[in-house]
Amino acid sequence: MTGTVLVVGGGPAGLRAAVDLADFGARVLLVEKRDQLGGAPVRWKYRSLAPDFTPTEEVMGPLIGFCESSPMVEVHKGSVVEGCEGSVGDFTVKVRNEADGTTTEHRVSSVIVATGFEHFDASVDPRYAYGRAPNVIGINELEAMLKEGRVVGHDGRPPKRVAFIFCVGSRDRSTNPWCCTVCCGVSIKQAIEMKQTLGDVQVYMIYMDIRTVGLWEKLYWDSMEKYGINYIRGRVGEVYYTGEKLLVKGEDTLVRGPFEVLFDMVVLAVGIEPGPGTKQAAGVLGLKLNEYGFIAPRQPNVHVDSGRDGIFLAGTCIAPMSIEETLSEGSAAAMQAAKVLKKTVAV
Amino acid sequence: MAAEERKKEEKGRFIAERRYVDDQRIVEPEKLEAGGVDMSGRWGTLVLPRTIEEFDHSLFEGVKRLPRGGKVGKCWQCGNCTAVCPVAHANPMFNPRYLIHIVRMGYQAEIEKVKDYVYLCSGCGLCSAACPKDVDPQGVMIALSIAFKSGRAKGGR
Amino acid sequence: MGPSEAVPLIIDRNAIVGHAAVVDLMAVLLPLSFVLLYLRVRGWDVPFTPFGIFASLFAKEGKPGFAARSRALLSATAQDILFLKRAGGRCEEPLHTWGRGLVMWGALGSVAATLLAALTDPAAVPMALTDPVRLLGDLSQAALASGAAILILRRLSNGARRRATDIHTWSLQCLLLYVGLSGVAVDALSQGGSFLAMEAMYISQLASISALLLYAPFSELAFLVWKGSLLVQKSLLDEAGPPG
Repeated sequence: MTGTVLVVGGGPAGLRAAVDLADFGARVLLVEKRDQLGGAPVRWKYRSLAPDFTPTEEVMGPLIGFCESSPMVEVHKGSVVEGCEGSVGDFTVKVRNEADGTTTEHRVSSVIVATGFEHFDASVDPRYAYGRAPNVIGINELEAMLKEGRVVGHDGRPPKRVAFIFCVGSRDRSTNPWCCTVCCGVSIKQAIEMKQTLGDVQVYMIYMDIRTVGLWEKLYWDSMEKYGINYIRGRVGEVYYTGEKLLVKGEDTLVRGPFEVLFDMVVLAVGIEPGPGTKQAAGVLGLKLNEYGFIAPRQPNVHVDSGRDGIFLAGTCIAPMSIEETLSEGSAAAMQAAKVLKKTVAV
Repeated sequence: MAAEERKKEEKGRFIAERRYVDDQRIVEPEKLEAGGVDMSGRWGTLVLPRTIEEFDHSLFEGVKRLPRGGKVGKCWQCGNCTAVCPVAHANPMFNPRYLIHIVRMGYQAEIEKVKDYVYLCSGCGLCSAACPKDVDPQGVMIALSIAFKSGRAKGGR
Repeated sequence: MGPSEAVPLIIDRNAIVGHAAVVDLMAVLLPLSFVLLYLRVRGWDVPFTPFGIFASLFAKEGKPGFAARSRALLSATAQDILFLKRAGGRCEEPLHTWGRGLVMWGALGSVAATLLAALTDPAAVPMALTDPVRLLGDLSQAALASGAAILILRRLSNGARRRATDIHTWSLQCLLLYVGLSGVAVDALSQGGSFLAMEAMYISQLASISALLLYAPFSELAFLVWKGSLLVQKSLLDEAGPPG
């Protein structure tokens, strides 16, 4: 019997699970595919987190720092889980380091899968001219710009008029039919930050619905009432680069008015979709994927339960969710692993 | 009066499917000359496209500075004001929600079309009581009534 | 500018505030009020002011002939303003329309009674209750007060409406209510109260009327006067306005 828990994925959910388990007294084997811990917020250089503009470091820093330094957590960066055998309480897993190709074997009591998400690749949907026209960027790229405090177009000049296009790669049967749940709030957060950074900029949010759920609604209210951000209800049909500016074609559905307006910058609120890491982990661990490619829990209302005893789920590999939900799911999964430990070994 | 009416009826009478074109979109110069030749009449008639090509918030900013127009920026277009408005239920041309939006975005052709109807507001204040965002639509209708006559309205566009 | 001119009919030679002083006060405040109204409307940067109505009587466009214009002016004023055709026609709350009507009619009645009293011998007071001018004055003041009370209660009775009401609306309506109530009170006190109490009430009414005159140009009343005269002017000039 072993007192170690394998955590697959070093993002918010995985880190949270690792920290909780280590605090609880368990050993953690943390496997991360990339060369740095922190997951999407660190990889994409998120400036701050919705809804309260908390700096990313404030939330992620302590988690990463703990895992990097704790003797209870064995971190394998640049590594993937290649094999998993055994059953609850005693799994044997193979971890392969992708840089040197070496594989190590470990015995673990249970497994927490927290493989996270990828941003939708907007070049898949040709109507937004992403990758073809300059100054069409994703919200992930804007985050990095905001973090640098330098929001500029390809010519180095700050934009005067910016359009955010919502639901890019989301709620669309030609790409992903689901709602990514957080991009409304994140886009609005960014629009506010853009106003704060640039001051003299007109921001237009082109949306189908504003889904700032729960307390995130405050972002929506503040953006209108305090920052004068404009909202246009509709969906963009085409973005066309005129050689100088971006012509955005859409309809203002509130007035039955087709519009073709020039913008300096277009920000695409690219959605959340399951990445290759999730698919790979599910394959190795024998987990079922749902019709969308997310990992399907035994029943949709209980996220932690993977359907396989001793393997637990957390975070955006199950469904799109906010970072606060992701962190809670990490803790919830850690609790399941702790229960297994209590049954099998004395911690 | 009769002359006025006739002029209105004759506007753009050569246009096919004339009834689908708003008066505001037809441009007809009184007199058109090209190369010394009088080309007045149907040749000069121009139908402007419906497409919105610009967002212009100057009138909107003016409304914010007028009495009781200050909170108009809070509007999120839910339509609660129009839902409770007794005038809107009787006359589709008066729609507080719509008025606020076209002024916000500066849709000049639409403003021209409906601006005379803002004076239908009876001032009952039901909208202001219903508004979930504290926009005070009744007050905004006052500000708009003034703005449409004001130099600030012409500042736009 | 209705209610403001309502000077009560009790004018005693021995009164603390003499008749001449009241006339002087009004002679200063009334024109001042109109000037303030004009400046306020000008401040909106609009070409039309309520005084433009008179210019419209002589304008080039519109109905031909001064007589025809005057008739149009009178009928539009009567229809749209006096009988609240526009406001009443689209208001689904008869009570609200009544409130507005009572305030307006009461104010106009008070002005009429005051003028009539001034034209007859102001020294012959206190008049008997059977005096028609005095009766008109009392009824008008009561109408003004009840109209204002209706408007205030209508807003108070509904929580959402109460919260949405502008401070200026409250101020205006309360001022109207006080002008009406104090007018009735002065007359009642003159019938059987102490002389001092009546005089105090009278002075407070004069103060409230003065306040109203100075405040009205900065209240919603200015807009209503402006909009009302604008609509009347429209019919005068035959401009194609929105169908009622």
